[in-house]
Amino acid sequence: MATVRNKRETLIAYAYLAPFLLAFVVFLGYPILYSLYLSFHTITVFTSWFDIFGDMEWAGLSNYTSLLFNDYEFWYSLYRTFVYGLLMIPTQIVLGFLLAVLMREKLPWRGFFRGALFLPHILDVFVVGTIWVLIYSPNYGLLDVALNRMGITYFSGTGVLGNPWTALPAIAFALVLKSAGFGMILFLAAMNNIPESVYEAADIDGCSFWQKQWHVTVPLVKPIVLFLIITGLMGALNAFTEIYAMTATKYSQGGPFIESGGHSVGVTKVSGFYLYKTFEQGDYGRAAAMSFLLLIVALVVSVVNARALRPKDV
Amino acid sequence: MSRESQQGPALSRLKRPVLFVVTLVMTMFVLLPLVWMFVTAFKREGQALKFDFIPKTTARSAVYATTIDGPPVVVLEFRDAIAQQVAVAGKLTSDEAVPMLRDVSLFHVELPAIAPGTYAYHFLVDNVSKPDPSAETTDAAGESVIVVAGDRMTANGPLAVSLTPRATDRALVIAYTAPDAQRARAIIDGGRVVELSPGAPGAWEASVPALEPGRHEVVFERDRSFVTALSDIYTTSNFSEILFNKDFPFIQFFLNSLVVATLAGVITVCLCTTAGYAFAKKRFPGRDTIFYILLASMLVPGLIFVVPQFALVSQFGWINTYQGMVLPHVANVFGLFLMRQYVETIPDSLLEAARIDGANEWQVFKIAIVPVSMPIIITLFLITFVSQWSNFLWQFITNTPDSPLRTLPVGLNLFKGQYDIRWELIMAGACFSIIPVAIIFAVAQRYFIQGMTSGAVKE
Repeated sequence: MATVRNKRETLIAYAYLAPFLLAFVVFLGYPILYSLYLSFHTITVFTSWFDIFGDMEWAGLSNYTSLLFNDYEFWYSLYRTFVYGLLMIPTQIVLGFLLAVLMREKLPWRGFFRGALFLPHILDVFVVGTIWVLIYSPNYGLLDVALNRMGITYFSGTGVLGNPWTALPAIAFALVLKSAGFGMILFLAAMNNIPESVYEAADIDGCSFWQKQWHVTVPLVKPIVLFLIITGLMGALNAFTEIYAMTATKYSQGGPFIESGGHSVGVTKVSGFYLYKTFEQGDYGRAAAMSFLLLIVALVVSVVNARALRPKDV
Repeated sequence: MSRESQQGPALSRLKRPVLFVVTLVMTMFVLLPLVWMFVTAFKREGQALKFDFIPKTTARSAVYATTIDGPPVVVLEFRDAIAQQVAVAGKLTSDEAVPMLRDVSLFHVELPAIAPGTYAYHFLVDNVSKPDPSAETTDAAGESVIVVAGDRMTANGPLAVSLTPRATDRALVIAYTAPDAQRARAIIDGGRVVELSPGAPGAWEASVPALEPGRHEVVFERDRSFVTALSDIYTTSNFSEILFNKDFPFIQFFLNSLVVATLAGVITVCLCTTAGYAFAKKRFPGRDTIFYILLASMLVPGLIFVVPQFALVSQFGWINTYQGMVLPHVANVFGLFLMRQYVETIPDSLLEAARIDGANEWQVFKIAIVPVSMPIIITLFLITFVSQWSNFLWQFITNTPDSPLRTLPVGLNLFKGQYDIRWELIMAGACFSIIPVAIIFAVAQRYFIQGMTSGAVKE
């Protein structure tokens, strides 16, 4: 009797799960395996452009080896991704934390500030990136006009997005302003879980305001820091839309070029954008192989971070 | 001490105004792109490339010059918001191209010492030959013709100016056409101000006697009503221009985005609610294994799915379809996690009570789970809605450039490629993407914040 009931329960449970699992298997599970299959294949000169996936040829590990050993641009794009993450993640965390500390003060209009600071996080990256292109435009953009008033005309020729040294930081700056509110909201939620008694104890010990933040708040919001680092890394590895919106013009794809190691490379060509360019050229096997290499990077970095930041007393 | 500890880690009271200002400045910084978008969307053609925001009720003309007792001087004007370089060429300039000076969208040039006679000329607008649109006569070859009289300087252009030096009494007769002016005056040689008196409707005139022989510069200043000055910079026509654009129908883009985001939201909510319920309240073999596989998939950067998902969608023949844009994203593991977490907090006794009342499996779900979970369902719907509203990459690659189902970001991207200097139109298009989301957020802020934080902060 019991087993019949269990069987029925199991069937019901799977009936509830079925639609989700079906969608998951078809659109996420199978694609990952199919991607693995693609990564061992290559298009040939005989490939019909109307049946690319049917016409691909077995290529063994050549997609991987050529990326790892013969593609300077791939390594450079990884390096730029790392730089992008380094510019963005710490800034976002510090800014989010400071905003959360400000929001903890019982300032007037607090509700408005919180909403206004969070709003940009949910807006369209492509559209916001496009607005920043206007702000960064040489000669008539807000930034260049402000710089000109201060007597700096260095960027009036190419604009900050056309300058190899400032293009990536400018994109990172726009994205940090967009997502600072997200970090703020997470820090706020975590800070609200800290019991008052902890601060009272710190008061008795004679801690100043900043000592309390450093010794009490920071250790207790460490999980949020970890979460923001991991989502930030995902963001850097997934970075495509902002690069496309801000530094892909008719003339250059992936920002201004510089010479590096004897190659001419675009300074904002991060991995995600390079993957897209490979995909756009129809080189699906190579793009799939690149996906897997990026997946390995993502997993390694996530694990290392989780280890490094794991609370020691738990 | 007790007072301060009640307030949490509060800074001293004195610093609060400072903190308020700091917060205000940071908020303004963060909202700057939105303000910029909004202001630019209302600018007139060409004005987006100028750093002018405050309407000026007093406007100045370019500098005009004439010579008393000297050979005539010809001033030509040409208005073009897009052109980068304009030059005059033809007989008038002895077949040489003389570049015009640029005053934002007004190009002008002063050609000194032209012998009286009839001359043909044309403009070179970015090296393309064009006749002068405001010339009164044109010859057989399509060249504009100007008559340079013995004692007068002729000007063309929308603000018609004529300065007539009279050798006899060394006077200068000024005529100035400015229909939008309420008052007008001429400033001669940067110092002497002469009020102009109204003549024919929209025309202003004066006669200035007793000038020294030689060159004199005249600048016109006109006072306008605030509304006129405002409409010199701003307009509302950008919105209608892009809404009814033949090649880039933003109404259509907007509706497509609405359909895609709504469908994605509804389907995601249905799948995640049922699956979340199963994980939270059912015991079945493979439960934990499946759940951990799903959780692990969250560590995979989304970009990795793009290539194979595209392969799949194109093999299904789903390019340029709603299902192609929506279905690959409905299995949202984050959403499932959110739903499971919430449904777990619903007491089992509630489900039991429903069963005792004779509800079958489906009815239990319908009456005991769904109504109680409404807050998180709304949250998940809204988060999915805004994220698919902005899913540029996927909508970009699953639509061909001529697809009727192009969504807002995709349409804006194509639009940007064709009208790359019409920033006012691009920003008006951006408004259609940003403003609906901002309104939804303003109304349903707490749902967003609840959903976004529950992923990272465990109670």
